[in-house]
Amino acid sequence: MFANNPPESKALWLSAALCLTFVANQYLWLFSPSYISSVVVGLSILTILFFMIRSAKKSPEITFVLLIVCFLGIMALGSATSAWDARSIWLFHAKRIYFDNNLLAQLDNYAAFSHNDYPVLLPALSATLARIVGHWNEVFPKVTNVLFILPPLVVISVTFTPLRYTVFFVASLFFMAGRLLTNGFMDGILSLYIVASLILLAILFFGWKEHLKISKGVLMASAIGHLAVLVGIKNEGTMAALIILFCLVVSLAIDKKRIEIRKISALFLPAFVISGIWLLLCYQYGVGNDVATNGNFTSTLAGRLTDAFSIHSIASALYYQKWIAFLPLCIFLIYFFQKNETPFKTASFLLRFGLLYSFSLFFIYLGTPHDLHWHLATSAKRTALPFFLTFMTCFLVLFTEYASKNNNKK
Amino acid sequence: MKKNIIITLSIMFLILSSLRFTDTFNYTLLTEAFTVNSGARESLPAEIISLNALITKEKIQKFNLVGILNDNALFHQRAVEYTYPAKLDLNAKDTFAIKGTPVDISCKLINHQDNVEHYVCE
Repeated sequence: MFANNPPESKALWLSAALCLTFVANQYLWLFSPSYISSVVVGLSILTILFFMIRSAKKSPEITFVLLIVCFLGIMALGSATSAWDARSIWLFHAKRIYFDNNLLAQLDNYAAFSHNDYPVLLPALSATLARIVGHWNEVFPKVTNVLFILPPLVVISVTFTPLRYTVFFVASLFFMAGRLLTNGFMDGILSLYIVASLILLAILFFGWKEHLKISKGVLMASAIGHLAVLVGIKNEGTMAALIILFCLVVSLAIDKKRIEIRKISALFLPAFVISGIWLLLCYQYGVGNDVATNGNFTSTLAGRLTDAFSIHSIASALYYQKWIAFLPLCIFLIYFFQKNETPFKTASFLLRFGLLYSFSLFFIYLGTPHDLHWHLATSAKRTALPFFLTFMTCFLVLFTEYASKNNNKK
Repeated sequence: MKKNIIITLSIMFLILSSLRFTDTFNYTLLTEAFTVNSGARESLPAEIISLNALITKEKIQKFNLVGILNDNALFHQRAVEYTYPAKLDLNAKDTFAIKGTPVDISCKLINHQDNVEHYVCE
């Protein structure tokens, strides 16, 4: 059955399998941490990559994203890990898992500056690689982050065809995220998983890209996998998954489509269970989030809501970036489509998510217990990446559909 | 013709965007990516590397920091993360300081590496 599938379908299966391996790796560390389990995970990943390379033979887009991941891997291996978040949060958590042989090592809240409440899906894979290699250093553990980039890029390569559109997406991603993809930060990876999940849901629920010869089962498996990884990347992943769910239900209601509760539950439940388990563990160990527990979030938020200077600072830090240009471009292009056309529905879904996610960030900054200017200066550029990448994807959806519409007319 | 122009432009766009990665790329680091202790010199202050060398040499499991090593957020956090699995403990006898830092009178200097000194405080 698998052998007769088109390369796009195979690649999506494999991307779902890769996501599942990432999640399984985390739970192997929790229940049976051993050298054998790490080798099994390593071999599973290598097998998936082998089949991915085979399926890429017939698809230039998949070949291209595999080459891009190789390029990013080389860049990650050839750069020192010096950025604060990469060292003090993600690689430190991975180092703790590796040395303590315990997924929950950070929950003793040693070194509270390292945000011990952050999920450990990516650090767990770095720890697995360190165990296979047999030691720890300041370079190679972060290369596993690049592996996480592969599944969402496969989704992009399958949906944005011909090759030039995949190239445009990757080049824009490089311009927007740049070194955030290779320096051990999570924001670039988080943005990619958000965009891939949105695309998969748009295909499943709004009938976008109906001509793709991919079964519903493959799309479902891939969407479940991407959402499950999304919530394990960092805390914003759970927030993004909740916003995606809300926007999906609202978009279906606006389009007067039936809301298939069972299908939606099957897609989102694994992700929320994974996120819930982690939050429960943090609660049990008494490890809290710095934004939620330091100071009073609601009173700070209420205070800043009436302070024009704070609102202006947040708005300019979040929105006054060159990538905001994609938003008016989307609004301009969307008028070339009828309301009942699938690109219109897909673009509306993406825009709703992008805007709502940006407003959520706005409110988080309003209530932050940290010095507002310090918090904005150290994080706003990175945290804004998911909604800017969503706007860029929305632009690409509309542009590719507009171009193919014009070609069909000719 | 039009298709060729689009493909050429896309490739140029991609190459230009790839340049964002080149300023931190270090070929030597790539060749030593899987070597023990690789990347430390490029990512950490020299004082932290000296501190870790002392901690590793003397197999210390718990240590304390005084002076700038403790007060400066960069030194403090890098020391905590790089020396792991050794742990920072305010009650530890093994104390480290940058040369010239005033330490408690009960502390005895027992070793040093470059400008980082190792004291045992009773």
